[in-house]
Amino acid sequence: MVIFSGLQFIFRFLPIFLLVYYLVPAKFRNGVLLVGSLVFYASGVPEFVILLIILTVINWWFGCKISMARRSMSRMDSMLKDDVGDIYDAGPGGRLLRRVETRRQLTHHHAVVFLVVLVVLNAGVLTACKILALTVDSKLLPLGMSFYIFKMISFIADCYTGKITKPQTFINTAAYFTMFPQVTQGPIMRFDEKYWETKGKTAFQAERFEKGIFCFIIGLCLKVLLADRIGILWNEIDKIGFESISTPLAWLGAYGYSFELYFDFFGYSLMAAGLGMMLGFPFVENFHHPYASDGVAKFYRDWHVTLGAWFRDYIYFPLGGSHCSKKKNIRNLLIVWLITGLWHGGTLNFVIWGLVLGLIIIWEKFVMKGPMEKFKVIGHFHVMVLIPLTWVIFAIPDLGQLGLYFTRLFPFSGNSGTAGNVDPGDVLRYLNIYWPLFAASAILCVPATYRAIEKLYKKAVGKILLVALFWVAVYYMTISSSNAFMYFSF
Amino acid sequence: MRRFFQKIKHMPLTISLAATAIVFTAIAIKGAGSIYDDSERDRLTTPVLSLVFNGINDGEYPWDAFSGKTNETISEASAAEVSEAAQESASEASDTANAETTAMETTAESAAVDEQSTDSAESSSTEVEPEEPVVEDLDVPEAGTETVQLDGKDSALIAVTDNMVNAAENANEEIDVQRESNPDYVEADSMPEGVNSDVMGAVDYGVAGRRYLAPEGAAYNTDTTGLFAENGHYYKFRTVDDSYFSDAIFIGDSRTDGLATYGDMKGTSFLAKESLSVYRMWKIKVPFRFADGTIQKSTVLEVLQNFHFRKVYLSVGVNELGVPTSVDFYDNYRDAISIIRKLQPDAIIYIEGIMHVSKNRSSSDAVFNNTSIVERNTAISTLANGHDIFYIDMNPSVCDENGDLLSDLTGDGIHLKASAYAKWHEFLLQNAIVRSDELDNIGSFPTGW
Repeated sequence: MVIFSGLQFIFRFLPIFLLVYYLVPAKFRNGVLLVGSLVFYASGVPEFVILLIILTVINWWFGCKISMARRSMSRMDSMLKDDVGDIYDAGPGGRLLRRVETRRQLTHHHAVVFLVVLVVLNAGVLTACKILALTVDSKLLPLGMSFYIFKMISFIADCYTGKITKPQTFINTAAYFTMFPQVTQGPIMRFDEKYWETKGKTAFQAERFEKGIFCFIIGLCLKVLLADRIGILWNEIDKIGFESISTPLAWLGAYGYSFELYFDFFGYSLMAAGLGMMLGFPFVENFHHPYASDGVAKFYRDWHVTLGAWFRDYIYFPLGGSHCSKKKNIRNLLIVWLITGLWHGGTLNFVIWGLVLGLIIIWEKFVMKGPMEKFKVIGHFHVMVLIPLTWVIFAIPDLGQLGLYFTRLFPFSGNSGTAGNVDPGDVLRYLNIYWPLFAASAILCVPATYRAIEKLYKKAVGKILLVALFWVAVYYMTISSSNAFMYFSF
Repeated sequence: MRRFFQKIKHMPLTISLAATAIVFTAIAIKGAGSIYDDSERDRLTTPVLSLVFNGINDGEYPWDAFSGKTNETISEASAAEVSEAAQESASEASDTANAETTAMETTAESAAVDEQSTDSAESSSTEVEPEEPVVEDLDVPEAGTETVQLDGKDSALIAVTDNMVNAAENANEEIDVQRESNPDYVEADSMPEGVNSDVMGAVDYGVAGRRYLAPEGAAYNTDTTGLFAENGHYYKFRTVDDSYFSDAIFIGDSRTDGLATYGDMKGTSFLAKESLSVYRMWKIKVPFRFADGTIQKSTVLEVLQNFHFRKVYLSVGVNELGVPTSVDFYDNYRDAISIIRKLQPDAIIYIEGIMHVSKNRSSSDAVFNNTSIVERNTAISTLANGHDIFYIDMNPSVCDENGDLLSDLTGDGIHLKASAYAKWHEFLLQNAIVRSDELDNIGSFPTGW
């Protein structure tokens, strides 16, 4: 049930949830969302729902504490500011102000301690689970933890910086942490105070709901009709063994995997954003046509936007960002990309993946800046050639196998197919099957396509088409769930 | 209420989705008693409208729900189509009559099967249905063609031509003459060692789904009297070279397809396609790679009727693991062997044991595990007779001592990597039967019948 592109979610959980959500009075909706989300999460991993609740309670409680400290600090600040002239005056007033200043420092100290403890606790739990998953059993990393922990850290940090101005109710905070559209795979939406407070008072918004359905259908189709199907090519390559694929097939595989990853996650994010809109939340953009970017740095501002922004706001900027010496800037970039790599997975290939991206971005920023501004084609080349190669690193955890794949991509680097028996016609065999999916993928990387889709959506024929596409996707979902041979026919 | 309708007006997409969902649900409910089988659905996880989509996948379209058809009448219709096709292709009136007889029998049988399936919770229309191999004569039969009715659960008509009968007789004469000069030929009262491969066992990780295995105390129909040749003399395996395969046909699923692509077996004929199974092998079109390198799409039946092979290798069974049960699989496998025997009466038939899967798979997959594979291999190995039908098991070449497919030979746990097909090829070279009539006749090209 925890997968949006599943029959149980679409035809069981979602309709029932929406009915309850909109039938109860508006002020109870966040509560319904919390309960529904916990049911949703428990249906996937009942053993870890307790951990989610415990972390939710701790983060909410300390978030309140930090917010309260923040508030009394600002109260004291204004007291100090008003009487700034008199601080060092002798007499009872001056002593009071000095006491206020000490209190303020103490409160600030408390807030810092709370912040540090909470960040360390959150990051520690996540790291511990990731290490356990890597060394003991992959089941020990609770579903969605990488995402909800990041939400919790951002919540705590926003309480500290004052972006969240006052202590929040438990229901709102908990619903924010656990909300089912985001709990398994993001997007890492920020806590928008005004929104959560007024939400209980707003009525059902038909247009937003409708737009949510639209996003959900597009996302569902991208995932089920495109990503899941083009993804079979990578399985095929795995089946053949990297030592036996021809160089053209190796490249086709790299692009196939890149498309699978993009449309799987983009599709998922659209579904999540659509669900959010159905519940009355604003649209959360997680992908902004990354493959149309003119550079890797830009690519990663447009790819998994909420994660990139999280790293920017909570790691890169606190480290000093780019407002510091060149040397420090390079260090900051490498730190951020190393952590990004580790966040995606604990094996060495993810570290390499992160560092390679960091280096490419440093290269673009400090060496290629001039040429890239002059010739846009360089940046596009980076995105269209280097990015798929980095996804290959992302895809293959075994370094020996990874090296092997690269010798197939670049056959002049030593052993070119001597280990395996290569079928030189393999790429044609697979292109014969997969070319429509590759063509569709390429078209769907172009921003204009989405403008056309939105235009079409406004017309009746577009809506009919969308409904039809939805049922085609349901057809594929149905036969793949009841027939194991759809994707695995041998 | 008015506000409600005002809002609804702005939600055409939502309304159409809901409306179509209601329509599909209505069709599903209407068809559930007749064209759809709703006994298998888990109501908690699967909406009733999924029946419509599963139906489309099985060739039963939504409008059939309203045409008053039932499962039985549908089979009748499709059987009628088959007999029509037979009418078109067969030139003799008697054949048409025969084909119709088959069609009628098929209908009667599927009705019987349907009756059983309502009793048994195991059977389901959403699964790959074991369908009767309705075999009709696609070629213009020559004069004097004799049609043979096969025994067993599935009836099928096979046109056996004079050439086929002659080939079988000639082969028997050759065997009589050359018997003494063949060192692999032994005379024994019962089947001696070295005639068939032993079935390789495997560790049972306890994950095999009961519904796929043979039921407790199940009996396999091993009554092969009359189907296969007489006892009393046997052949043993020997090593051969690649010319041995030039008049052979390899029939199989994606694994055999991999052997054809990566096994370095040029000059050999293949009929291989992913998901080819004993249930579907007579119905689907398969790429036929002829020994001379040409490829065309044909059915297995067409190829076997048109070409004369001296060896037939059959390697199927992994796709069938998801269809209950081992007994049913065995029965269909047995029928397939019988049909091949009729069409290639003088060929050596090799039953290739199903290749095991990796430990990862076998210890976690309720369907694709070695427990199930070993059970099914044990069953099909009993079809070998040591005379003209042999069981060969390549698993020792690619498995560890636990019977698990070696993990460095496989990428997905099911298939050999391209570079590992050499091991299968090598096994085939070392486990070949050279029958007495084959002694002077190795390396010829397949001819037409």
